[in-house]
Amino acid sequence: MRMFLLAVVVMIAGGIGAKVALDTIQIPASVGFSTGGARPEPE
Amino acid sequence: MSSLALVKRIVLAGVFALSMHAASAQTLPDDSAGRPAAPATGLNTDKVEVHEQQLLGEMRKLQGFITIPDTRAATLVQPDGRSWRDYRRGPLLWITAACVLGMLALLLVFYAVKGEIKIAGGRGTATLLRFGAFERFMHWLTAASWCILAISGLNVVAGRAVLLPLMGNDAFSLFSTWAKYSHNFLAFPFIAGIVLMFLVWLRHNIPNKIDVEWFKQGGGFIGNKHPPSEKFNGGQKVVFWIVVLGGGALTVTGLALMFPFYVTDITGMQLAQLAHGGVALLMIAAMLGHIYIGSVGMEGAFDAMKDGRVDLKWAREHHSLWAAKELAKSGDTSPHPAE
Amino acid sequence: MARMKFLCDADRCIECNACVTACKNANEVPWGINRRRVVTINDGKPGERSVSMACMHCNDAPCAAVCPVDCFYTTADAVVLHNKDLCIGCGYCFYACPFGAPQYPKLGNFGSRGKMDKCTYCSGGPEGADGSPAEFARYGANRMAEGKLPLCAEMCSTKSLLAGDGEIIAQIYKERVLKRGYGSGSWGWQTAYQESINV
Ligand code: HEM
Ligand code: SF4
Ligand code: SF4
Repeated sequence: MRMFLLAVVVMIAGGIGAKVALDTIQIPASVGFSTGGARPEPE
Repeated sequence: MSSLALVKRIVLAGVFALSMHAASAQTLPDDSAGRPAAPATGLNTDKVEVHEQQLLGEMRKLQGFITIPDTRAATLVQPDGRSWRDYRRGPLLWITAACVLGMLALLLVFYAVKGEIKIAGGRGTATLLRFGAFERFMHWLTAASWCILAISGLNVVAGRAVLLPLMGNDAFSLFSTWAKYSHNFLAFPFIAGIVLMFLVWLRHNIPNKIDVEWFKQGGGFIGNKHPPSEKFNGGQKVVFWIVVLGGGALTVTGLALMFPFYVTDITGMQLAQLAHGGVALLMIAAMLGHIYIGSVGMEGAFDAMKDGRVDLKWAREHHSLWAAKELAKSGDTSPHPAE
Repeated sequence: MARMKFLCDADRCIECNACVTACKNANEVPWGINRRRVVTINDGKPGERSVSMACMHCNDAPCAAVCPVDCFYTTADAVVLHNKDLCIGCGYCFYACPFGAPQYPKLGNFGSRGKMDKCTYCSGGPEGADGSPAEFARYGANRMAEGKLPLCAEMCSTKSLLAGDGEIIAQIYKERVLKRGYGSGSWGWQTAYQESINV
């Protein structure tokens, strides 16, 4: 069962790695809000 | 004077007023002298009436212009949200029960009738290497993360009905937070495991004539014959493709859910959710069967994933062609004794 | 007990967005979250109408029904509120909500959308005493506890946006429609309350 234990360790490491990676590209909802929405030109 | 009568009168008056209005709109397209006549399209811009119910009848969801950058806010009404709700509170729970409890019941019945499928004459001493270290690693990577994904996924669907009453609000919320984290982040090791298994085992899982014969003979489950088979028999190939295709579908829909609204809109999100849950539940049912036969259901099967070595007698029974090939390859006529 | 509702008379709304601003200010809503917004359909075309929309505080609310942790509750005024301590930020309420009311402080979820936020009908939330700073910081104003209606509707300049007991605002709307001879309907009512105001 050594491979099982190795897999569990790799899985946890991978999960934490994914969290760290994704948290660094997390976007707060306020991004882009200062620009506001310009009204398109009438057709 | 009852308020009902009053309401009636108002409604009648309203109907009357509306019909008058409609009539006047019909007979007098441009009633105000001096204004330009209606354009050739027949549209009089002064008189375009808008009715929410009529628009909804035409469009399912109403979208418009907003002055904030959050494009999701541009959807004014999407009544489909209610249907999505109805599905989650009704059919989804029944499908979940069928896939999980139904499958467990079936396996229990199967076990009661058939018992553990034994190696004829008991285990021998000789063993054969079935799965190398890397094969076992990638299988366990997939299996371990799959179990957590399945449990945390089921929690989202049925935890409120099953666990919440037992745990209470606070404990259940804490548990669900962690379940959600684990579902989101362990998805990546799971995806890696699926990709690895696909690459490493694909060549053993191309369906061929031997599988047809295997299925014709009921896979050895019906009666006691053991149809010949290579490294993976017909049933295992089916499991392989369920895992690869199901895992692939879960990856695509799961990533869409994890990156909400990056690739699709509200309708797309609802559909991704439906598909993800549906495929996951079918896969859970299939995997329960796979776990059963790989553990309590068959003597000697678990060894293949434990240390990779299986009983030679087991290998000859269930994978006769593969066992013969392996023995010929190594020229080893007196295989290793069991440890 | 009164059954509180919102009603936006789209034939009066001039898309001034004052309700949006009032809401932001009354509740100190964080950047990026709009508890109320004004959507204009047929913008610049014949049949243009603007509708101010927030949480409609639905009957048998879809958000509450799908929430995996059951964190919603309904007040005696039929206002639908939720508990941010329990919310796990899964985003399901947004999929179920017909009006796009629930919002999150983070755009991507990756398991961390943050706690859901939505219109509270200026009724605060389950934290601290009514009108306490703790309640305000998390959920916003509790005008209802002071006997006041939501600020958005209170200060609507054209009185397009109405808040109050459902029967009373329906009656006001009916009278308007009768008087002026047309009305585009009580937007969202059929979906939220399974009834519309027939005039
Ligand atoms: C392959 C990678 C996967 C990804 C990226 C993924 C992602 C997600 C996401 C983002 C959700 C939404 C709920 C939440 O945010 O917590 C979800 C729900 C769910 N997932 Fe997965 N998942 C994956 C694999 C799986 C697997 C392998 C299973 C089970 C065998 C599974 C079962 C479920 C279930 C049952 C739900 C709830 C569906 C519903 O509420 O209708 N998922 N998944
Ligand atoms: S409008 Fe949306 S958030 Fe508000 S009660 Fe209805 S479903 Fe819930
Ligand atoms: S985001 Fe929060 S409130 Fe909305 S459904 Fe999920 S847990 Fe419930």
